[in-house]
Amino acid sequence: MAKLEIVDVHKSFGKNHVVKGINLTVDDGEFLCLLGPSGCGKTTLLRMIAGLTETDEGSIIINSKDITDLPPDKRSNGMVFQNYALFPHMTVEQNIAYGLKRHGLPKAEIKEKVQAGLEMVRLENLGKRYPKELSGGQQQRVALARALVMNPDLLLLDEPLSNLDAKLRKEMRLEIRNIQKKLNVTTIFVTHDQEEALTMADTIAIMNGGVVEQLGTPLEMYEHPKTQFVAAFIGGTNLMEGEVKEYAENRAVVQCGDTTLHGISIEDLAVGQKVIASQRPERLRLQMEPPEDRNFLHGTVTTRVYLGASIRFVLTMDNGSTMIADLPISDTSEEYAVGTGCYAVWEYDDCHILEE
Amino acid sequence: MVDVKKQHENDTGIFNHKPLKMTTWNRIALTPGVVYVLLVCIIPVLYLLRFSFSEYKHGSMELSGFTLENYIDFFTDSYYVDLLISTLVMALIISFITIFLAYPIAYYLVRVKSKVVRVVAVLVYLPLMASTVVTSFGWQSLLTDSGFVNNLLMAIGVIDEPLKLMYNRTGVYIAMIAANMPYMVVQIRNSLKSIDPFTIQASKTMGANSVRTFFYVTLPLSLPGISAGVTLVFVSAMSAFVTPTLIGGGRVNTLGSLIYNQVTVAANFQFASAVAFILLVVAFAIMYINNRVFESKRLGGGGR
Repeated sequence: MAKLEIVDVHKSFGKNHVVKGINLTVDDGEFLCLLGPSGCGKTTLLRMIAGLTETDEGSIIINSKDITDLPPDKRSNGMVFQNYALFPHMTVEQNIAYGLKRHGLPKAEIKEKVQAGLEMVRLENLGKRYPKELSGGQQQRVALARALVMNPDLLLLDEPLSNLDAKLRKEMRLEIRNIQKKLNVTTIFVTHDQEEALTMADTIAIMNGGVVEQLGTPLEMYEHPKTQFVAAFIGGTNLMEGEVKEYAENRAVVQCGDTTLHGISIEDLAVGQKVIASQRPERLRLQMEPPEDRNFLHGTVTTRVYLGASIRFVLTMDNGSTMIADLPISDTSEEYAVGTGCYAVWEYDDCHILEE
Repeated sequence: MVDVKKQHENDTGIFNHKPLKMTTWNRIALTPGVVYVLLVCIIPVLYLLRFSFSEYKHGSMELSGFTLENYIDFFTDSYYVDLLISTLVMALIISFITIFLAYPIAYYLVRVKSKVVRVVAVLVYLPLMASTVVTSFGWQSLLTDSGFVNNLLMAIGVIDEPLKLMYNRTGVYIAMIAANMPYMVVQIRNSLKSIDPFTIQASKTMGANSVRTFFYVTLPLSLPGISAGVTLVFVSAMSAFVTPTLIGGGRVNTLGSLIYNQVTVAANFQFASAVAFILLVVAFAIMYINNRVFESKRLGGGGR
């Protein structure tokens, strides 16, 4: 049960300014995902919350108590590391009991909690095993149980799924999410995998170059990316540079070379401003005739990739740019063979105008 | 014997090679080493074993007859048995003191990152580069009644009379501990290096401060290194004879100096061989016990 506030925190390693003034509030029971490419400062921020990395400036506040200068063992965090960091010389049970013992709980209570922890992660029968005798997924569960039995204020997860194979990763996403919901523990999850972030998080903070580029729900991130970086990082995207011709009430007309695009913007724009038009591949349609009241661009199909549920078309547009369209398989997909000239079409509302 | 590498193997999988196939090339590459070990190690040891059962003939190196007399002599004479025990006790004391001196140094070498560390590392390993004879004479010049240590202590008024540091056990301990430190430091350093730093951080996030983290995580995980170090130091201290002879000046007797005297003074090669073989068996026994104690599953071994 905890509310976390991060107020203008900074961190430098030598001359390298890694975290540049981050402000975040995470509500009780919220699942926040710190998403970003490597080197964006997301792990450093998590380690600062854990107390494993000192904070240069700013404050970290849990339930109105400033913990910025507390050492990690005086904070109440459960942390899961990328490589799990289980104690190799202890059994699963001993690993899970470790934190409870350090907090001086009575033996009977420790036993009870360890058992509950094992049940939570469905490892009841493996308590006597050593970490080396477990699979990666099982080790992951032990690490999770070990972090959660202490009933921590915050659950901190540092890319916990990146060492698992694809199938297990998808299972663990759901499992972690379910456990988190059930315990209602405030959780901060660091990842570079946008799919992980979209499927697990209540809120995503996209980080780039030590700052939060955008904070919002997965839906907001996807439907209304604020910056070019966010648009490109979450989901595939087609980007086009242009200049604002008209702007009124979040609707803009943008001139991209010979093409005029209509789109929406969540920021106020000025006429003449340089902007980027972003459109999702799965919102594009292909047709032979130019449409009315929709954006369109003519081009030629250069590659078709079968993706199972959909087909990815790579088009070279007449203006020389490349666009990607993901279309569900339908009766008409066969019409657009490689070499076919056609129009890529998308709704005005699916065209996001972003400040450059 | 050393669990450290095994741990590493399991952690990373880098060393998880398939079993080596015995190709012609592999056989050719192995041959010189195997032949060498066979010629200079296995065969002489077997010869030693046989020779220790030979009948005593002054100054003779010939194999003659078969007798248990050499061994019976050793184990029925309390002087020799006491010598065996005092040698083992000495090796044990040296091993223990070395652990306590070497551990902080190894810890410092692993945890602290600075240029000073490299200098310290070189200083620690320096004794390895000089022969035992040279270092023993070096210690002599430091430890005699008019040596550097006594002169210094008297000059600053700590003592009035020279301390007896030579020709007794004190001097032998000082010199042997110094000579064995590098082995212990290397072993402990390696095992400390192989500890995943995230386990230490994990311990801290679970409410253990630095001291508790050391005793519950770092120390148990470095036990394989201590074990390996103890094996090396114990065996080396047990079989030492140069340092006890030169520093002890004939007053500190060990199994090593007994063998030396039996060969050079008494010319009783048969008895010397028996003592040497007893020393060898004890050394193997120590290594075996050490492995059984430390190479259990909880210390990094175990299944996959």
